[in-house]
Amino acid sequence: MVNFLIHIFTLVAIYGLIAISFNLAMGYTGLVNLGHVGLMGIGAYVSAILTTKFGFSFFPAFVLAGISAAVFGALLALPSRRIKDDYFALLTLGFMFVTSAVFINWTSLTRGTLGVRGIMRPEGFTDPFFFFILVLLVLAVAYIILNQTVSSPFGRVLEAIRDDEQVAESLGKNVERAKITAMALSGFFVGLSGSLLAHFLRLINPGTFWLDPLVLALAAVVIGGLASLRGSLVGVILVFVISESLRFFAIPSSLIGPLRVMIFMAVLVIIVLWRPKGLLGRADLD
Amino acid sequence: MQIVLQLIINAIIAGSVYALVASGLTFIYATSRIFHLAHGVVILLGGYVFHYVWVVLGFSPALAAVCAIVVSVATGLIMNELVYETQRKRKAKRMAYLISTIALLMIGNALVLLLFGSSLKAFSVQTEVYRFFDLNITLMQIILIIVSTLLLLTLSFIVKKTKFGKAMRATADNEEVAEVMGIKTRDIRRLSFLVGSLLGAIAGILIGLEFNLDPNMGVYLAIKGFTAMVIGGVGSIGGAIFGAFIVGLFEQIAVWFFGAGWKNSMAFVLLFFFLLLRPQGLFGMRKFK
Repeated sequence: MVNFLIHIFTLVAIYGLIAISFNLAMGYTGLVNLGHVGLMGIGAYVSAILTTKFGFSFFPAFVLAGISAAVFGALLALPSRRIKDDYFALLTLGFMFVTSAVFINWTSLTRGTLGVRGIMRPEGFTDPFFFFILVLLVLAVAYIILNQTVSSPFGRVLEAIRDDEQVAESLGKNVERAKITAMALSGFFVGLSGSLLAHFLRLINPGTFWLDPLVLALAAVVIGGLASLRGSLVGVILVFVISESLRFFAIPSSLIGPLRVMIFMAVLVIIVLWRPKGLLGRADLD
Repeated sequence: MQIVLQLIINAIIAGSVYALVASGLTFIYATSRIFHLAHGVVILLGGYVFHYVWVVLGFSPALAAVCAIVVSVATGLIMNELVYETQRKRKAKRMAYLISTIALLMIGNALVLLLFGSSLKAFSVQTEVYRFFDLNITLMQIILIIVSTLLLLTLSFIVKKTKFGKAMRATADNEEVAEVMGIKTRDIRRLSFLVGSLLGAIAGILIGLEFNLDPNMGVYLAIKGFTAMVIGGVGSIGGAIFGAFIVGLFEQIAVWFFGAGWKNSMAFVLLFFFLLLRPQGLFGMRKFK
């Protein structure tokens, strides 16, 4: 039982990291980056491949996972001057599909659908409890950094971009650079979360980075509220409470996955229709 | 040379299905300004209900097609009525529509998984294979192309010549003015969801017959439809159809060069370059034609 709880808490902390970095892009900057899970996958694969194939130890691989996801995040933001709103969302969703195709088809590196196995937990953190503490530490540091960022003048520039890009631009703010920075920062942290997830699960395959985590992150951020880091954490906890309480009903395990998605997304529709600010959000869905 | 011709034939087959998807999406977008990604669910249900009623329950294919179309169109209309129209009343903004359409897409996808399972569904329909100069085309594929062409011709007739088409073009052009002129734009939106979903349902049936059914295809087809729309210039039905064939051709070329594993992500590469280099699309028409 204790082990099970530690397992769930670790997942909650990892998803917390995914959600707060997602909120930086979507809630604060107004960039609906549906490729967030693709960036996470990049982080996970970089870390997994570096440690299993190239003999890296965990921490350098962990940092490189963040950096590589940050680079791709910044690249995604590059065309965001011309590609906006719905188009940006579609484009980034496409990015996720492309990363998935790369994970599946670049078999010499990723072993295709078999996935990468035998990923080790970092030394000193092999015990589930210590690994949980490590994840919690990373989450805390990320939270502090992101919180500092969004309450700094730069954070207000981001919110101005979300509310009205042209106004922000006419006030002399460098909109493009702010977007790229936000996406790189968001990518960095989600890359770290991917690395943590890979070393936590110890095996990853392309299916790990498909629609399910995206559904979860989207639900958590919208339920918790846009532009609220605290809300995102609350959202993740709520989403996990809903999802884990399904275990108490006698539902065949093959049905749990789709059922979970349906519940999350139904809640999402309800929030969008009747409470567009979410629980703790400060920005309307726009 | 022969390979090239075969590629083109395959591209036409895929393209004529994508054209149904893309023109349905254009219809819906023109009157509602919603990027209706959940259209993927309508397509998916069309294919799966058709398979269920025909293959699993053993009724006639005609009855199965009717059931599929009824279920799909009802789904499309319900999504519009319960979600989009409610949002419209609340003057929702673009991100809200985007999130609700993604949520609807995921709900539908999960529902199909729950009801029909995750395994691929195949129709064991064998039709005659015709050979022209070493090129292969089956009777099924010829029927598919003909059905799609007839539907698209009917559609363009409706848009250009009927009263409904006129009202629709007016709504697409300027909703407020249309409303002032006595057009009930809400009903026009309903009708366009009806027509768009009808096209989606038929696309789903044809896809099932030709390419098998896979629960993920709803997501892919919705995105391919959008890529086609963007290539042709958002809002133009002719452009969407043209874009659909470009997507089909590009995919076939990608399959030939890189292998089948890359097929479904090729549409995005195309989408990316078009959005970046020619966001107004090939025909650059802003008006709904």
